[in-house]
Amino acid sequence: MKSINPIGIHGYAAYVPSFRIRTSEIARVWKGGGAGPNESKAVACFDEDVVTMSVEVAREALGMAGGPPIGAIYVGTESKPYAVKSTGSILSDMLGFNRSLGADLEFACKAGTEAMQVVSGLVGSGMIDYGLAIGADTAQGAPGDELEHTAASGAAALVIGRADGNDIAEIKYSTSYISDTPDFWRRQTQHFPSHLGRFTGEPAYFDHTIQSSKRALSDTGTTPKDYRFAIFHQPNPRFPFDVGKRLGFSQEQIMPGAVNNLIGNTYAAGAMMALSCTLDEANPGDRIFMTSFGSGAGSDTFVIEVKDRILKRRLGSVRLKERMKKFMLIDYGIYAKWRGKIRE
Amino acid sequence: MIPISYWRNRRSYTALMGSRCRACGAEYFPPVRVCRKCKSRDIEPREMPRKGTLITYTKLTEPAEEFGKQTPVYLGLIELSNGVKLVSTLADVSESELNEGAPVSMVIRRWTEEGPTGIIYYGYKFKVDAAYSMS
Repeated sequence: MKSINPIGIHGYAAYVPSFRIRTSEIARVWKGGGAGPNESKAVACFDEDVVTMSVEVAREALGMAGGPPIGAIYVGTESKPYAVKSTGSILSDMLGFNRSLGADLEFACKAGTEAMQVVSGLVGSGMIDYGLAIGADTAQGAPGDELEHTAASGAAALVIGRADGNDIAEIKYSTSYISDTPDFWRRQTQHFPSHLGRFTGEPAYFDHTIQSSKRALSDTGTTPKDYRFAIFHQPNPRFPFDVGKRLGFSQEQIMPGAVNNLIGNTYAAGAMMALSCTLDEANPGDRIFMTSFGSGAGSDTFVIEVKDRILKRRLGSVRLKERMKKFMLIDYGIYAKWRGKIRE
Repeated sequence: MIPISYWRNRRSYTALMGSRCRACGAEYFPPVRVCRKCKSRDIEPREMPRKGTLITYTKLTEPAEEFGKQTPVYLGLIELSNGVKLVSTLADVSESELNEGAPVSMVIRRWTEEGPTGIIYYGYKFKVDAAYSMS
């Protein structure tokens, strides 16, 4: 995908709710013992949803960017509070950007990076100067389903504008690869998604991530060694390392963005949250390779180059991985009450 | 709550929009039409600061029915950094952190909703700052 104007990231932020449930607690209730693939997952409080978490990340990202005028707010999510009523419009009002486009996007776990591409397109074509791309979810797994171990809550945002010297990183390249693959879905009016178990691995996650990544490496004429960091969607703690190895990326390149073990899969926020953790550690000149994955299925790949200004803009902010160390544990009863597992 | 009155007041609920007296500079939340100090009617909208300190709190274990899922409800008396005081629900509470003088910041949270088919009401709550919690 080519743009007329160079595209830059001017601010970034990610949010993880304060509450965690151990997967051993979920397994205790449904299996009598054991644990999920990850240690714990982040759970949104009873009064949190995609709107509240998106406001949180939007304000922080806008603060880092110096409060530029926003021409578009796109929210990628599969857990929007209203089936019909734009989350983007609610946010535009709360943030005071009424002269903007505002809409929601859905593509399972890659809806957030879709928002990045849409806003990049608007900036790249000159239609807007700055836009907000948000990925946010309060993901749900059916009670007792294996997805319940990983389906978590979180949000991440990027302020995207022209790469004009004030940006902290430049999006040098992006591409996508999609196909009709029935690995995971949720029908209208259903509270919980359905999936095809192991089928979510090879033909879905691995095939789409690899196809999109290989195309990006080929188009840019780069190899994994040309990047300091690599990000792959993390539906569980293992998959990003497995797919990275197949593509030739090392554990060290992936580790800075790896958060699944502690907070689970934050769905549409997942890849962007890993980018946030990676930008927390990156230095000017570093290159970041990032491929998201969304069931249904598809992947978006980005090549990002970090710029000098990141050092100044990041000053004083607490790294996401540091902030994640503060949490409160809840048991399955509270989790079930808060997240709508108990229905009248 | 009525959807139309919520919609009319939403800037107060989600952006802490209060008011300021142009004559004497006094600031108010919620907004007023007449200055309580100098009785001037020359009032302008003014967004309140989102940071403050906790003065005290109370814990409700039998709140109104619409807050059932949120029980117990913690109500805090907050002094904003401009000196304006307000009462607000507290978010993500760990009782050991609810100390007098604890730094707090505004967050947007769900207040309540009109059942499964109605409007969702969002508004301000206050949360003890993470830096204070981690110290």
